[in-house]
Amino acid sequence: MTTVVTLDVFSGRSNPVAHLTEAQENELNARLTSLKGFTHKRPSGVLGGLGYRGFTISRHNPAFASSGHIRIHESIVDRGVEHPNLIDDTGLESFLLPLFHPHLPQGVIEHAMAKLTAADTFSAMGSKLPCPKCAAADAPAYAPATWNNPAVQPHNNCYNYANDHATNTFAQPGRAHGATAVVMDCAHVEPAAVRDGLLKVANFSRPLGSGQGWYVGLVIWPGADYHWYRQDQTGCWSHKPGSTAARDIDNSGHSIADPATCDRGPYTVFCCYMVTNRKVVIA
Amino acid sequence: MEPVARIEVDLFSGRPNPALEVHGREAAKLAEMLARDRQRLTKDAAVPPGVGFRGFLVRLGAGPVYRISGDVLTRGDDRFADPQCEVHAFIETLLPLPLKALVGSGKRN
Repeated sequence: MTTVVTLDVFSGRSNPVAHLTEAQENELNARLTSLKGFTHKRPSGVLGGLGYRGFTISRHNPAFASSGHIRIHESIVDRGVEHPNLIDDTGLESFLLPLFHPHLPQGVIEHAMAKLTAADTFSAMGSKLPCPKCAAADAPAYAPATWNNPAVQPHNNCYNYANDHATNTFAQPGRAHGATAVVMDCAHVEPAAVRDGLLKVANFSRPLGSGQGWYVGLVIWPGADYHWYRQDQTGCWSHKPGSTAARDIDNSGHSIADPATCDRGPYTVFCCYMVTNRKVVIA
Repeated sequence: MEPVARIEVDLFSGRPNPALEVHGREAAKLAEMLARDRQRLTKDAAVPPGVGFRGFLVRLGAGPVYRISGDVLTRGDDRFADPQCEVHAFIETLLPLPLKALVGSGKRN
């Protein structure tokens, strides 16, 4: 195995390069294989910019005739668009930077050190944001065990979950009333949900009394899919991505105070808040 | 009997996931890759990203379902390492181009 580490920092000059010893390779591999957390975030270094942009690592394994290229920056191991990225909680950048100490001006090292210290890392994973007030008397309790079991989880999607109704049909907006959305945009999915009985509203602050339902939020992955969130009794929002487990965190691991602003991955368009209730019929 | 593998792309939240079947040599290669001895990983898996591309679900014939996501293969509660992401990369070569593009856009921030 040959491993070459490049400190991506210069603009005009060639970036400095280090060839790892076997011991250093082993240490790097041990740290990389210990990483367990995934993220779809990408470090800003992939976009360029001036100054410290992380480390790139090129590896070639003659035994397997294979090679790989990754970037480590802002506590993210970026493996390119083909693979989910990894959250580095082992301090890989702090491990790699000293390899360059003997060969670089002190000012460059200090610049990179300062960026490492100030980096917006993933240490906030799982952090709890304050929940807003829940104004809906009927809002469901956050009880993921009801959904996350083999009899329910695979057969119910985000729309089932938002409406708190497990039909075991992977319910589609509008299907219970004759027509589903054929185009994945707000203009088609919103009316499909309205046909089922949901009501579009401006926000989630108006008090809803008993029997008046609870708030849900519709977002769109343009041209591809839709997704729903629901506000629970806690005031925070939860969701069920497809046939996977219901959860109360977004793609960055944060609690969800507002689906309009949380990390929604490719579901980049926030359509609207809506109100659903127990009389809504979905299929 | 000709080997058959069903591959579901775990991608969507509201709509059903896209899926495809592969047969013959490609299915046999997938079966061989999944049958290899691999390092077993600890069971404390991180929750995969919630919305967007989450990996591939592969079923060979009537066998168990494997989840393939990057360098991790999951079968039931067991997780195995694929450090070079060979299975993931091989499956991507089997995808029709529009689906491959959709997988790419599903990884966006």
